[in-house]
Amino acid sequence: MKLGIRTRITLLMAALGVLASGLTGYYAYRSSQSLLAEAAEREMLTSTRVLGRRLTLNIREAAKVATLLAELPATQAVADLPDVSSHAIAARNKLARIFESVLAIQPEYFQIRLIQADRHGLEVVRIDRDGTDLTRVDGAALQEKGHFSYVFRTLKLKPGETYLSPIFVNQEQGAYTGHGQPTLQVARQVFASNGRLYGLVIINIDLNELFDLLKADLPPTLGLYLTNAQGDFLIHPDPEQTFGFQHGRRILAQDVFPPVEDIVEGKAGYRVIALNNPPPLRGYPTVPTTAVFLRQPLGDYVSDDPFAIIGLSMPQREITRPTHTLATATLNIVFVFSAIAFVLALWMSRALTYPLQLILQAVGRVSTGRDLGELPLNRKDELGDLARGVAHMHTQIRDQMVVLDEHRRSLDHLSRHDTLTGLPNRRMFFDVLQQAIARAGQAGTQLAVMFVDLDNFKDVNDSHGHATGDRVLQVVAARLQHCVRAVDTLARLGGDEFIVLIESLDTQEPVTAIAHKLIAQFKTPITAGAREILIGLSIGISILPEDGTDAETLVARADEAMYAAKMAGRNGYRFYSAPPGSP
Amino acid sequence: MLCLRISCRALFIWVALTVYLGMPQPALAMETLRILAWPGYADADLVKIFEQRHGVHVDVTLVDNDDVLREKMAAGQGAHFDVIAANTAEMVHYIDNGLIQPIDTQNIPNLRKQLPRFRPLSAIPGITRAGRVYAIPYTYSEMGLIYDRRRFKTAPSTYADLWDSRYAGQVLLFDGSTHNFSLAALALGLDPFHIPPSAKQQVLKKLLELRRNALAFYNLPEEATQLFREQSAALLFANYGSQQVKQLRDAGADIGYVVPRKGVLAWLDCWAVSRGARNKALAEAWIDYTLEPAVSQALSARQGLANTLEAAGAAHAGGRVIWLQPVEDDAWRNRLWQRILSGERESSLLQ
Repeated sequence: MKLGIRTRITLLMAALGVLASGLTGYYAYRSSQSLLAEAAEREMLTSTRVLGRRLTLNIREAAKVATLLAELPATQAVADLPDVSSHAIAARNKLARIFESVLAIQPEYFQIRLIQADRHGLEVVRIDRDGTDLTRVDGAALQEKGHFSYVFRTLKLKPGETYLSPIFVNQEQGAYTGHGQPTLQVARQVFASNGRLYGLVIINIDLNELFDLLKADLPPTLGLYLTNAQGDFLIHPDPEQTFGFQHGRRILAQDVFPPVEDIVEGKAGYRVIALNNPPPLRGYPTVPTTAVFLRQPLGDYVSDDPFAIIGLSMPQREITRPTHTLATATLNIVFVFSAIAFVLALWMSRALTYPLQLILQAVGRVSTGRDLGELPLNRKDELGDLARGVAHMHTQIRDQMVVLDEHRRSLDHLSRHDTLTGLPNRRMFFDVLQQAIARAGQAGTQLAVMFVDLDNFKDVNDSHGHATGDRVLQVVAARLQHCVRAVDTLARLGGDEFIVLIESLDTQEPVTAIAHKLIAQFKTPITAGAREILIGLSIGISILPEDGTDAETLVARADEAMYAAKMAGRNGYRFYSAPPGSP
Repeated sequence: MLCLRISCRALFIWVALTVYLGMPQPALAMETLRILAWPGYADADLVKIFEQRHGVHVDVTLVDNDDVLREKMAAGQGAHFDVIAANTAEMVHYIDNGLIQPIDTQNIPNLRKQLPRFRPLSAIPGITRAGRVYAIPYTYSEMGLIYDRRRFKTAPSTYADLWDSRYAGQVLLFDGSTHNFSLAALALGLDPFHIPPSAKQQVLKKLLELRRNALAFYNLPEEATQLFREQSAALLFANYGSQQVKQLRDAGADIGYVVPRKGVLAWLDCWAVSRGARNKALAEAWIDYTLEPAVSQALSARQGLANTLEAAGAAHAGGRVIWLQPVEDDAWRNRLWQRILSGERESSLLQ
């Protein structure tokens, strides 16, 4: 299919428009997508920070509670009194009630204990959370805890220091609700009033409860991770992936999220990790996930784990969910702009090609010689230049055509006339004669061909020269012209031969009259320069239809008649056939 | 342009796949030996030599945990592997469950190169049954005692030193029910793996004493190293053996390592042929290959584990090795251990 410029320009510009708006839309979408992803990551980082800070604040609060409990007069009273007296028992009961009060208002605490340094770290006062109730462990059920690091490490603290345990799963038997749960402990030394180190107060914090509280404000799609300073998972969406080290198998965050290694090694404070193709293994997210892991210092405590690593993860489809709306909006915009581009393309291609079409039409008219019609001559651009160029070209061509026409006409005239006398020449005479024969045939009229030959013209040429001869011929032509009617045709056949066509004859009377008139004309000598020359005429006449019905025959017969007239003594005329009524 | 490139790539992959799938595949046609073992037991370079020598392909699957090994063997009733490596106590389990088959020792001439302590195989509990050999010892480690040289004029010589009140609160022990009960039984002169009901109270009392003498109970070697240094421990039961010695020395501790002469608990990893082995002779050829000096020495050099061909350092000389065996009642030991570890006293524990 042949496509016009206009179609092509329309298609090209529409394609450009669609492409431009499509690309713009695509890149806008892409950059918005990455902006959204960045925003989501920032948000996750902020959430993680908030979570971490709240964890630290909660630990700090527990440390304050532990300090408060360790320094209470009631605690000191227990430390001061010997083991078995009734006062001692009363003091313990009083302290137990205080522990219960604290546990009642702090749902995230599992357990509060007073542990003595002697007797292998025997517990003295111990309250456990047991479901919704609180249970006091007493008597034979009190256990020796001296071999636990939270005891021997707390007892070795310097004055004013607080012990913070690593996060662990409490495997101690008889721990009620706290048993088997991820736990964090804060402990403070207890002194008797004489300044002797008596033991410690220790609070077990329920990490799950703590994180449930912390997590309450977060969207449910977020996965929460917590690891210790070495990267061992302590909290994981899949609980079986936690506390591997307590079962002889370490499950490390850096194995699932390799960049966590940098945090463990202290090279980075946080890492944003995109897990685009998580392997189908346990412990890995099941879908592409983005996670933020953050090093969270736990506070200024004596601890094996001075910091924890908190992580939040979110399925990437959740992060990109807003981009679906964005994609729809972008598509709409692209569609509308494409439509606009198409309309603009149509309009622009028309604006561009309309003047071209005008010019094209004008160029077409140039060849037909018509007027150029409307042209965008007033435009100030290239199209205006083109139009003006075409108009100028048109003017030039027209002028040239006029000149050429004149030339053609004069050539035509030359080819049909005798240059010397200005009379029609032989060729033109034959044309006229043929037409006249046709007309006469139709009208049923006669016509006469009168062959005129100058007598002794050769002598004029020989004796007076060609210039005089030419002058004579001109005078002859003028005299002959003078004798014939306006409707008759006088032509010079060549040399001294002239011929006259007389049309529309009913009779031969006018012919004879003209013949006489011609001969009479030449009774007067012709003045050529200083000479006067007398010329005679011999005239032969043929008549249509008697003497012939075609031009050649008529002229030949007239010639024959002229010859006969010349033979019969010059200066006379003769019909080819004797006219009726003649002798 | 992009589309073109993608389709070109797709075409290329398609063509490559077609060509690949159309090709004869010698790797599949070749016989394959499937090994289930621990890291370092079948290193790639050593495997390659075996492959070349026998004109076979070797598939190595690694495990780092007895439980995982049991799972892999249980799936397919041992048909997924030809050769496995496990310790002697685990071998009892596999023999009991019919997952491994007797080995023709004639096919393993390198057995002659093993140390006398591994001969006869019937003297090693757990690897023979009804006069037939089911497993071939490959590597081992004993659980000796690590001590602070500055605190001991003479090196401790028995596990009984763990109860020495002079080191109260300075003894580091492993948080493992089985081994601690075995230690207590040994200290009482009992069979460490078969505590008679009549001796249970006695053993529990002994364990309470052990707890009261202990600084702490560790799980991981790193934990032990840290506690040993920070808390100035004097004595350490090295559940992980020489690995812990190396770790502590690397940490700069001035320690000694002894293997109690009266008897030292030790684990012994052996090779066995799976019940579902496709080519038993090839499996036995692999076992024989690992007992070649070059291969066994590579294990020691790379992993720090003792091999069965050469006597290890002087500390090991003369000790009576007590290879681990299944114990009389895992569940009971574990249950009671958790209570002891939690700090229960005689009054509740011995009821």
